[in-house]
Amino acid sequence: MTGQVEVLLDTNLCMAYGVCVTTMPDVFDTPAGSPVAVLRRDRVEAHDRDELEEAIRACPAQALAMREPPS
Amino acid sequence: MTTDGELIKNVAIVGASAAGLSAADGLREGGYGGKIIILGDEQHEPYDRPTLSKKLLASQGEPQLHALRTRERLEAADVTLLLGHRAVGLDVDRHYVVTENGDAVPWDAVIIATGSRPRTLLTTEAEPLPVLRTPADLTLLRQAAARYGEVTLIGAGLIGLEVAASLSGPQVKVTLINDLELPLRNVLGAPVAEQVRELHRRHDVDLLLGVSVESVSGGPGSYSVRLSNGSTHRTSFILVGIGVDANDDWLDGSGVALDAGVLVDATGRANVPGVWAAGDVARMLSHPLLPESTRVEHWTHAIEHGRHVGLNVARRSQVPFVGVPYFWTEQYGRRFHGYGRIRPDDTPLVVEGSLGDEEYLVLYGSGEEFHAVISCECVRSLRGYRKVLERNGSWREALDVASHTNLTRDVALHTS
Repeated sequence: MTGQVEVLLDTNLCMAYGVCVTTMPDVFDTPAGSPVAVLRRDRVEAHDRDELEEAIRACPAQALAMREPPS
Repeated sequence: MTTDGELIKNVAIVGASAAGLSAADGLREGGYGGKIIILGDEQHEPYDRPTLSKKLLASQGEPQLHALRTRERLEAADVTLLLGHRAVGLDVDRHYVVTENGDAVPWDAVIIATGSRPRTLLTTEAEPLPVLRTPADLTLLRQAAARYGEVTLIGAGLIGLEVAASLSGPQVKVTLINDLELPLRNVLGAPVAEQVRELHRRHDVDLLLGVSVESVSGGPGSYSVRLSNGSTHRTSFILVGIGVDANDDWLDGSGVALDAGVLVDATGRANVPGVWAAGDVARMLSHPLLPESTRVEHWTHAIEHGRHVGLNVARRSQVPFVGVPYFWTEQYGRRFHGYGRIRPDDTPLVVEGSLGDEEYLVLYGSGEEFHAVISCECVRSLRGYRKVLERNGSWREALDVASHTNLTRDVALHTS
């Protein structure tokens, strides 16, 4: 459970609601005019894991997931 | 802490809703290893309902529903989902949920997540007017808009305004009737609500504000709406969006205390041992950010409250729920996000952008209290204010976030 986790965004599901941006603006963004969210970075530190899990839960399109990065 | 001494082996969740599915997740996350049965009243697999008014109205072809949970994911969590099983009664002595098919589903703990349903109006011929709640409602609305080229919306809440924003255009003439002069004033606060009203005006929505509907007669193709100002509005199609009521009537006489929703304490428990409620059916008797007992009808509340109750049941804990109410809405491509709850006496303060621009952020509070933040396209700034609300922080703390945000942005502008 230590170390970074990888953020996964399924752009086929994403609706660019922006709910994730309100939780983690340093990880997600919904640029004006973009039909989907973008990742500002694809790794988060272990201590941000709870917030990432909240963003994953809150996504109405179920477009977010996380996984342990391949070592 | 233990709520009662008995081992919990069966949990029934009533409602295949965002709150109900999240409660199941919370149970597993909290280490509960027994049976979970979710009862759903619709025949559809659980789907993302916000999409109906927020995205699908403007789309073409068959509505593409977004699944909330795949079958694989439910199986992996060992959750049994029974669709088409509308709950019609709760036996709190023998611990059964009774369904309309006549099944009696046993429980050691039951989580009520039956959500809410739209209020509607009846015509003078006692026909219920259309609402927007299900995929079938969406299909009917899209067909009517295409066929008649005009739609009248009664009620200008979040859903009514989202529908107006999605439909209004060269092909469809939209009329919006609302009894208040300023729609969404209680949700967005007066200054932001005025901006939204202007957006609708600019997009040629015909706004009939400050008038209420006395009666509606006729049917699809030819309705006649009598208004409180004495005039009559004629229209081919009507959609009603005048708020929702908790789906709690199936609990009448069960012994579970109701008051326009299932009354729950801060932990999510109802008055009857073993009975819990989550999401927008639950009327919370106490919450640090809400001055009086409240049902919160927003998406993330259903998710977080559902999970919270699931965790409490699994861990036999009594942790109070303190999640900050949050909503978002999109109107004509502008995304509004809000945290907290605006109160009638609050003073607004614009801390980013300015009203009338495409981006602005407004704080609401009174005295030393900070109550809410509303953003129009300033979504990246919200996190700091949300943190202040989560710890029930003061107006001063909210202003500190504002000055820090502006400072950071100014530095970024100078260095870029």
